[in-house]
Amino acid sequence: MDPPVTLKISSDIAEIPEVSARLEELMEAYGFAPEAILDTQLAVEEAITNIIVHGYKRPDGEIQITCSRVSDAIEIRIADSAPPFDPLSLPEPDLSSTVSERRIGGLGIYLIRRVMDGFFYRYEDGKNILTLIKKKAD
Amino acid sequence: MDITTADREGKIVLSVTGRVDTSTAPELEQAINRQIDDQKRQILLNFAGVTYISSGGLRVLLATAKKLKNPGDKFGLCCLAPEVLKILKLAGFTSIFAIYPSEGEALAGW
Repeated sequence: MDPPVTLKISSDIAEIPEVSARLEELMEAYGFAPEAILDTQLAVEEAITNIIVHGYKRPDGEIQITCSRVSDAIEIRIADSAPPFDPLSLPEPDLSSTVSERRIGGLGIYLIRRVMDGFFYRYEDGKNILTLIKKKAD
Repeated sequence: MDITTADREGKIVLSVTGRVDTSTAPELEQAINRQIDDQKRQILLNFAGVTYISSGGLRVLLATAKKLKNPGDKFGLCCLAPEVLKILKLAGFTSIFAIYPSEGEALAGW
């Protein structure tokens, strides 16, 4: 059993490439296929962007990302101390509308739901905690 | 992310390589907007070198489609990698943008 890997970043969009690079390195070592790695990078980027833009709304908050290997899956826990917000409570975007009607935004959380195998939220000890799960094979 | 621009008889091809994510998408948006400001309203994005797109990039594509919707305007994408095409499909974008297999096939029809 590998020990969990923890990254701490500030609530700044500029941190995202480093998080993606670390995820790739870790998931390659765990034997994940390139598509699963891209899906996970996407989900983690969307989750972090959401915390930065809608949670902290400033660059000096802390986000902690903990990655654990759990049998044939990776579990990624993302914790922040921004005000309580459950992204799973957001309505799904309307994908059927035309170019003019389509809203810009609102897609991030929807994409997380679609590309990951598990997506959970809880508020605990003053922290928002998102848990993302990606299996090696669908 | 890198962007190179080519003018093909007034039709603009922006060839993008790398990752179009929340941190790089503003650069793509600026490159597109420079063309639109310059009255170039037929824009093809060649994504052959794009390995990854997130909602930050999708937002730029949608914003561009909203700008280029007058008669005579053209906006499309070509040469998408399977993973990028998958995300566009999930987002429901394949029904609102023209997506071409190659640059030649896109420009031939414009």
